[in-house]
Amino acid sequence: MDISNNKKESVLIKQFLENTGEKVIIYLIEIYEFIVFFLSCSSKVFSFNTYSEKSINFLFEQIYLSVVKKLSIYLFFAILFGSTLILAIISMAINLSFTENIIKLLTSMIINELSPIFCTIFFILTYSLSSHEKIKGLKKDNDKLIETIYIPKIINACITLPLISLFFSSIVFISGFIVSSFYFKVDFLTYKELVLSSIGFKDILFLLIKTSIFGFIAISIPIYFGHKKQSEVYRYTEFIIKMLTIMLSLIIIIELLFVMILY
Amino acid sequence: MSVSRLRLKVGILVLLLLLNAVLIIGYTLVKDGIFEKKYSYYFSSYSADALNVGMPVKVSGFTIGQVDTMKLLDDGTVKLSFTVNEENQKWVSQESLLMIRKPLIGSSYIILYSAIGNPILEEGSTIQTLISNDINDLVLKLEPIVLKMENIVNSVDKITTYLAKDDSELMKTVKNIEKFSETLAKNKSLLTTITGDKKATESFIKTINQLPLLVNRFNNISSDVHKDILPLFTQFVKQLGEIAKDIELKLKTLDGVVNSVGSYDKDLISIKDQIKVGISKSNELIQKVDSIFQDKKNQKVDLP
Repeated sequence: MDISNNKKESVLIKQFLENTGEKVIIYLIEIYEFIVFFLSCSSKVFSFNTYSEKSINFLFEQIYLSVVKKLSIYLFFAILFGSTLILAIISMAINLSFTENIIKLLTSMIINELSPIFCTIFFILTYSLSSHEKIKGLKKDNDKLIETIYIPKIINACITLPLISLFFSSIVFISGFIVSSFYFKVDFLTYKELVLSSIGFKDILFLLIKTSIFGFIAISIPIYFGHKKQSEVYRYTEFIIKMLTIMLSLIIIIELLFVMILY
Repeated sequence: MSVSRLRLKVGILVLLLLLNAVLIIGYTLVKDGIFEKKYSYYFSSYSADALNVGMPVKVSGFTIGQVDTMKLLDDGTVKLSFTVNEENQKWVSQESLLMIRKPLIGSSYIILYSAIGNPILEEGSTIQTLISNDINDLVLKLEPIVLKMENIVNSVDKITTYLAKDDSELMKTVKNIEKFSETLAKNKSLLTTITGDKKATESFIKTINQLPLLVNRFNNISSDVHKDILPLFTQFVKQLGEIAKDIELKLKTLDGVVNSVGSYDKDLISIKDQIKVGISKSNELIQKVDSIFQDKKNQKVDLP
């Protein structure tokens, strides 16, 4: 009786180890495939022969779909955040006699944290998350996938996301000035001394680099999943959740790294 | 949407975004003084405590430069350099002094005491340094105060030790107060304690109770009586009192006489005569007093 129980236990442990090992091997292979896939894509980004008429048209289309079409929503949120956050910062500065350092910290938080994270999440939800489904459709009648589809998408994400993020920050500060000038009668020189003087070149540089990396993460995961998908039968929601989890985890890791470097 | 229209829209937006980026980057670069020529100066300190790269150099509270480098020399001192831009170089003149200020609260900074009017100091020169350490200064200032406080505390300790002894003046006083309060607690009232007689207290209280009534009566009378009559009236009352005493004595005598009625007829007759005289005198006096009250004009009274 005891011997049969011991055998069962050893079988269960063996199964557990096998399953764990299998999962680890699967994930390692997936990570390896992911790295190889994007190294091959990245190597072609800097090659002049990659860019054909078709790929440039596709790039324009992607910029239009990701930014131009959603510009009004970006502007709406930028004005909303600007009028509330900047107003709160100026209110604190006036009422609580906050020191220069705290104003600087709050202002740089808008540039370094709010603007990149908001724009990246908005970009993921409105554009990049649906990319894998579109790639699935494009795969059927395209033999040069990397050149004509993947690379324009990557370039779009890596260039337009930093630019729109910087634009978002500008609108935040402009709307902040307009609202505070009406609400607190703050003139431009005071606003410049209080808020704009806190923005340094380093902050702008960090914003551009960070959003560029975020953009790469936001587009590369859906492209990879769309490219890898072979079977017609799959669970859409499961795929979306898996992609979102990976993207957000990577964004948080990158964010933490930047926080460690910046502060 | 046609391809050309799409391209136009995308082109306008990309241009707008690029222009925005160029303007912001340009603004921050100019603000941070990336394109300005910088002038470096050196100073040394015995310690790098509370000093750091990037700390501001101030003139009259305005930041004119910042610390760029810190280096530990072989002799143990710290060599620091700071830079100023062309606009602020005028403040770094010959015979200028630097003060490293370490305030009690807040981060340290460097004050440049500029010798205005002197020629501008050559780039790369070393400036003399003073150190103002608020914490150490405060400790130095507090030291004598602490010593005095210590003496005061010792004196207070001695005084309290003496006062706590059983034979001290304070303890004696406390004991007396204790006795006094004990007496107060035992007796019915403070008055009994003061007078030491309960009967006196009771009569005093009765008098006090009657006093308002008497005062009221006296007020009624006094409202009618002229001020000048009062001294005379007082005199009459005194005389009346004397007469009453006399009558009392005689009545006492009469009391003894009554006991031996019959055997002392002569004495009785003489006493009766005396009483009659006394009564007539008192009647006269009362009549006069009545006349005073009735006729205020004739205020003089002839005594019997």
